[in-house]
Amino acid sequence: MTSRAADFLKDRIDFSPVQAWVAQRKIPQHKHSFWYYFGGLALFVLTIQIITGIMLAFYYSPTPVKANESVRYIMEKVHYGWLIRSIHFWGANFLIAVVLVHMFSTYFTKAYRKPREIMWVLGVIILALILTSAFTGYLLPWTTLSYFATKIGTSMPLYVPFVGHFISRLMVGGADVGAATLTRMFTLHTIVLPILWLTIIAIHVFLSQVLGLSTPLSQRSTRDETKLFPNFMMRQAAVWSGALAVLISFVALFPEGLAAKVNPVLPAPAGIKPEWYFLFVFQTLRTFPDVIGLGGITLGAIIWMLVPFLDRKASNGEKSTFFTLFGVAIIVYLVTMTVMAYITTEVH
Amino acid sequence: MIAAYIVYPVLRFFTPPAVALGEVDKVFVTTLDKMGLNTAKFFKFLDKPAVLVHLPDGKYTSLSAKCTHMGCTVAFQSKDDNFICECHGSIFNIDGKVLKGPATRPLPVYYVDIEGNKIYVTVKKQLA
Ligand code: HEM
Ligand code: FES
Repeated sequence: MTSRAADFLKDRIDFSPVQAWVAQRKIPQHKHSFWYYFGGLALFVLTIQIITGIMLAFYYSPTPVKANESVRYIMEKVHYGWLIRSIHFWGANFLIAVVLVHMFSTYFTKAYRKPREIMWVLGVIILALILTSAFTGYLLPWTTLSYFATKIGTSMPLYVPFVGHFISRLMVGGADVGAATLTRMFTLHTIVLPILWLTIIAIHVFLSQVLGLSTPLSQRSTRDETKLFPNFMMRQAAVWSGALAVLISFVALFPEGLAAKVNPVLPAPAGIKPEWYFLFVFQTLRTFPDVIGLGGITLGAIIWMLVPFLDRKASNGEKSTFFTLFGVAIIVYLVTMTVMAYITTEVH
Repeated sequence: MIAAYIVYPVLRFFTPPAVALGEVDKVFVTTLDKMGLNTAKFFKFLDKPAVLVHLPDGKYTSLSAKCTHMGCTVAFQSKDDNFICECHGSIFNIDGKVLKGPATRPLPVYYVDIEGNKIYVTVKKQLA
């Protein structure tokens, strides 16, 4: 049956250029090759997010009156609704973790160096968009935590000079977080951001195929390679299955519950804090004056994005210890702030 | 030039229309008998959270409950007669002044109007 269908297509369309291209694609083999799997893994988890997200959207209702109820309906009435929602919740956490590993591994192997500067810049933008997806999705269950997280996130632009108030108002859609904010976040989460990240990811992946994978400077002497297809893809598939098993274990062992609907006039409860991936921002706000804290994070992010253009040595094929240390410093900052946030607030 | 013809209406489309404040600058909050001494009641005013406090000395005061740092709703602490924001720990005194950061600006204070048994909060002092 499948071969009949294949013959039907082959009869009409000439696939040989594609086959030839795939056949000659090679992946460098060396002692850091392990990190090559994380980009593909990110694509895999992203696909899971898209599928489960579309499924949730069939039942979800983006109004203050029904949002929390509709998620509760998904959890309690819809067949396997709890499973799909929990996969979407844990998938978001996994996706961010995987993208972070992918980013730092390409950073420390200096894969951003010429000619892959654009891939790095697009990668940093993809991370920002995915964090924005997590932020916008977080409001949707309309719980106390999601409500105040959105208040804080939409207040941050207020500290941007000149256009801050305008940006914040665009995000909120009114005087305060409410019905208008919920429909805005929902539209961003399910339509606008997916279109944006899918487009940029398409370019990022396209460039990775055109340019091929970068070999770390330290491994340039090794000439070992393996075929993309089938060797690398088979191993990639094994990585995906393993990751799926870990993801489903989290989903089954720690199914995400649903907190009560927010009462928007009541005070923020004690011990309130964001998800792990935003703890560094939270702790920065508590530690430094807001303009310095937010300004510092913004400046850091911009420098981070421009590293390929600043690190001339790596582009010339030389060791750039300074940028390695810069990366270490960023990680130390992120980890210290995250740990501080954990130990200075009671765990909920 | 042509881009501006497109960008301007699009930006305007996404900017929410302003609400006319005139119609909503006075709200009924509660009645005197429902407000024990040293208690607070939270309500919505001007589309934002606000709080009415019955002070230990018998007077009433009302403030915006929206933290001026990042917009969380502050809680009333009756033992110290002040407001704490649990998001990043700002503390405001009963007049709205910042006692502890990260917030730097005070909470706006409203007027309380008592008409018979009814307590109203306004942005303007009523000319009785
Ligand atoms: C980068 C990809 C994505 C990330 C990181 C992400 C993240 C999130 C997060 C953190 C939540 C809140 C989960 C909770 O606490 O309940 C959420 C909810 C939701 N997401 Fe996504 N999401 C992504 C993609 C999508 C897509 C593509 C769609 C649909 C087209 C979608 C539809 C929804 C819906 C309907 C909800 C509300 C249901 C619920 O809260 O469980 N998501 N998302
Ligand atoms: S929002 Fe109140 S202290 Fe930050």
